[in-house]
Amino acid sequence: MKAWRITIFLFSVLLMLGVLCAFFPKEGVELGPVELRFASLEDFLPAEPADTLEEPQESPEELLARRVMELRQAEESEFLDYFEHSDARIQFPGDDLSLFDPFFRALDSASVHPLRILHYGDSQIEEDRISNNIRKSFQARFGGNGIGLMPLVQSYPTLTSSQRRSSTPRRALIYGTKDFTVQNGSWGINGQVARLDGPVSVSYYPARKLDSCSTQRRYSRVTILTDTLKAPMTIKVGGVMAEPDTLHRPLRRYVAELPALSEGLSIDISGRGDVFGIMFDAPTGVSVDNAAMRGCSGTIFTKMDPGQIRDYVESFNVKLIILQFGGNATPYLNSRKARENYAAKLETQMRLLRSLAPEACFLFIGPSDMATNVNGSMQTYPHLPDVIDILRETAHKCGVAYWDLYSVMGGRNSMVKWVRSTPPLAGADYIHFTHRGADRTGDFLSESLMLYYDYYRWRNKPLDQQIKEALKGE
Amino acid sequence: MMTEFLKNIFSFDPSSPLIFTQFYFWAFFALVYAIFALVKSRRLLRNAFLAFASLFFYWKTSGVFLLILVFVTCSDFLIARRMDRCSREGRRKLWLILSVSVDLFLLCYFKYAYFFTDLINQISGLELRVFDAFAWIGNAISGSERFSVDSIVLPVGISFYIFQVISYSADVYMRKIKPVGNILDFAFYVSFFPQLVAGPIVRASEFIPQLYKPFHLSRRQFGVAVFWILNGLIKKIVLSDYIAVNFIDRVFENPLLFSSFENLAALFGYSLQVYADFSGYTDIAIGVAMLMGFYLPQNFDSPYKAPNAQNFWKRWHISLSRWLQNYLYIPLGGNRNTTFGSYFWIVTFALIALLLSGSIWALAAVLSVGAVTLLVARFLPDHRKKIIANLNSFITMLLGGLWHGASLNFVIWGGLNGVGMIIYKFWKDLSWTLRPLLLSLLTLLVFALKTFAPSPVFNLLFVWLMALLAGTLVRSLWHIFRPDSPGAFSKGTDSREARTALAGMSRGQRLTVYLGNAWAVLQTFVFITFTRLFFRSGSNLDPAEANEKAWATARNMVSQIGGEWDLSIIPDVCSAYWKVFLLVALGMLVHWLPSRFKRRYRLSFAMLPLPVMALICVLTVFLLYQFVTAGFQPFIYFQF
Repeated sequence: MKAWRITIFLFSVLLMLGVLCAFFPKEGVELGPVELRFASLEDFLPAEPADTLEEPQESPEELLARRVMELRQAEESEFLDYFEHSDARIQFPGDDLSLFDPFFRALDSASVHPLRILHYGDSQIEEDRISNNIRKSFQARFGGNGIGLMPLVQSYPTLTSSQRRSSTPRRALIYGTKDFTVQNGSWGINGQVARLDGPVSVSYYPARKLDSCSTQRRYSRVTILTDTLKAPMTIKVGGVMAEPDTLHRPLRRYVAELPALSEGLSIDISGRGDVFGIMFDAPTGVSVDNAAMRGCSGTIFTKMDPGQIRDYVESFNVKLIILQFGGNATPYLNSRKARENYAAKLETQMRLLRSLAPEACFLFIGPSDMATNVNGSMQTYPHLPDVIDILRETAHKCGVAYWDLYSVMGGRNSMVKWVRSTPPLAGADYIHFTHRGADRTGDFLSESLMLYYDYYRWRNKPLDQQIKEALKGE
Repeated sequence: MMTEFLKNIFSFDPSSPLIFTQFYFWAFFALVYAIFALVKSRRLLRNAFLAFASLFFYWKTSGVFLLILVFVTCSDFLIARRMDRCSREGRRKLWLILSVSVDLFLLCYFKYAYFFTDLINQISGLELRVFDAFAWIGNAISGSERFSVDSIVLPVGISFYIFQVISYSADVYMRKIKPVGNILDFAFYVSFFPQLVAGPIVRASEFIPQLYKPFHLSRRQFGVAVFWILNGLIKKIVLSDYIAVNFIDRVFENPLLFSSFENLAALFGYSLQVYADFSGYTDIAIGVAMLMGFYLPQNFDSPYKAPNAQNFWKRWHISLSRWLQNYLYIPLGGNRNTTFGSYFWIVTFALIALLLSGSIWALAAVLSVGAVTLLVARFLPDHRKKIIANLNSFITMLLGGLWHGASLNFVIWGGLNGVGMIIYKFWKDLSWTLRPLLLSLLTLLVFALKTFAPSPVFNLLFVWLMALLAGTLVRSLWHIFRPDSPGAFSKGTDSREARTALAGMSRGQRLTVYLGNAWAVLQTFVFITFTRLFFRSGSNLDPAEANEKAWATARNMVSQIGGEWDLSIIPDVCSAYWKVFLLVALGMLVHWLPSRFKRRYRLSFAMLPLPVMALICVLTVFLLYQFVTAGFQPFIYFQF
């Protein structure tokens, strides 16, 4: 076959495709359930620069490093400038920077009165991601030990612990599989219940990669939370009997005070009933619970027993509740009505939780940037900024602070950069962070909270000391 | 505007390389072809033009790494000429060593710098970091800080073109070919753009004679070339990219988020995806080259039709297998002898085993296995040939694994394939009575392990061995009671020889062969699929991290697949991912179609009238665009 005929063939195919590009409707053609699309001629013109909040040349690692630098500089010079202008700031309702003061006051006395941070979230915080960074930095500064509340059946190892167990009791999860029916919303605190029909022995041992001197490895107080319907169980922790409390509260607790900081102890439970979880703590300092709910959109709290939540918050001095949701709902929130419905549901949840924990501070972490296939290229979900706006507005309406993870990452299309960075900070699904990405995010959130704490300390210094320091600075 | 447009055309933009699935490549190709059509009759001009077009293609794909390609081209061209002029064998060998050393140095520097640094750090406890000397020199020359010295970036296609130039030097050394007289001809051979980035690896002795032939393409060949291009695009976009993005990537990214069934499905899907990705790219390369009258070797021959691991490597990445056989396995001694290279690699892999396990026992074990193998070979002359062949082919497989990626998980992957091949070679010589006995013992052993040291990997192995045992028992009983029954064909039933042999058999015998073969194909496919647990690691990770990631992925997938199964969710999973599962099923179905049938429809397409063919091209692109722009499959969880 002659080469010139082949040339004509090639150009004919390109020409026909060009004609198709020129005349095929840009918005696509609906053919029953299928929507047919084709490129337009404009797609082949040089692209407009991406509309990102940050300079396009900055890599995600550089962006995070700059944010940390800004945060640290803010500590040394001017707090307010950072709180007013940074994209990475915590956004308080009515810009009330004193909203977290109750939490910070509790931190000041953590060495005497222990307190807890309860971190609820979706798969973005699975494996103790992000929570473990908060725990690490708060325990380092304010004391405390242990990994907080764990389910009786740990279905996957986390970054901080793994589990061995003699048998696997039946489980019911408020956000997923249910091996049995749970009555009266008795879901405990993290929405997971294990039903015991016989004895079980479990031990939680530190993850291999956890630093040998990490405060998260060891604990000296173990508390087992169960229901109150059945007769008390017999529980031993490393041979030490855990005694049940005698008060009739919605959560029955069995506490074992250990003679020394321990790790990997065997917990032997015999009896029947529902176990809500096991807490690994110390008598003082900060504990952080990771309540990861795979696939959850944060609309489950109204199904849970309010008495159990109130009991937990009051008894264990929960001073900060972090809610990290929105990612699972985002793909479906492409209409204004859908967004408003979701926001209304979340508002109900937040108002309920606030009423159950009036002394606690609340922080809502909105969805990260998430990318999807838009006309053949990976881009931020077009409606994501609208989702974030309505979530922020709702949180503020409920008196809840908002941390905009989307902006922290770098705004529009930052997820694509996070996935493609070397090494990657987010996974190939363009939704979940990699361990490294979660680690960076968790560290940054911890540092942010610490900055607000430092500002609280600064505000509460006697006036003459403030003036003295300001003069010294000049 | 015009200046900007031209600048965009000629400048290097790392975010938009020229790749086969982009429109820009096809515009580039059409223009190149138009000029090619004008100069095709002048051989020198044609080759020179295609060499420059290929270098431009590489520039658009890799930027300044073009200099490495140019350097390798010049160095091997000059050394081969000097080698050819030498009459003394010793001198010739020295030139060959120089040429291969330069090539391997560049490959090791760019591909294995992190790997070696990691090994040295592990051995010595030092914390060495890579330093890009070339970037430093570049900065010194340009007087700027343009290039980062803290990391070494892997140039696109370096593994392929380095192997090609080595094959050229070796073929000139072995006097299989005369050295190329014109450097532009040689540059064309090294950098021919269709196969530059992802193969096939073209051996000098096969391609260089084509440089001197005039352009010729029959009407049928033209049609076949177009078919290969469309076939490749469909494989790459539909079977690879779509199922990867919508299912496989997300499972491999975080296996613990997904159920046992989803993990298993993703693993099998990955087998198809990786094949479709690689072979799709090669199909396009073959088609594009064929349109210009050049023939690239076949790189894949329906690999999942292989009835055993040995045959799989004759069907998968054939150009690499053949390269390894000619330039590694045979120089190592092949099936004749062991050489210094054999001992060197045994010791090297023993050290790697030491590093992997952190135990001196692993080093001792590998060295002992090597020593015992060599001693057995020495004192059992009857088996010597077989033992040496297996030893050298195992070493070749390990190195072949390392070629695929600079991290230890690829070495493990190569090793598993090597073990599969060796087991098959011994297995096929066992009698039908011994086979089920041996398998029963092995199954019992794994059962004991599973009972007394419970672990998902033993659960998995136990199920796999039970399936193997069941199949082997049925086949053994059949063959014991019907000793005249033919066994499965070791090369499959698709070849011409197999068809001839089958034609001479009775209907019952044919059925026995087909059933035996189907079983063999299935068990080989499952084996190869499980080796893929180690085939995947992050592309933009350094080896230490890639190893960790690959291990974590493999461990988590095994833990899920070998863990508790909830069969009730399977219908829901299938319904949620029906598009992906349907595509995988269709892909495998087409893959397993008889070659004769495929050849028939390929030729029918090739002879279609040109306007119809052009319309089919447009329609295919239109359909592919629907897959490229299809919305993401939403995240649905079945595992909690």
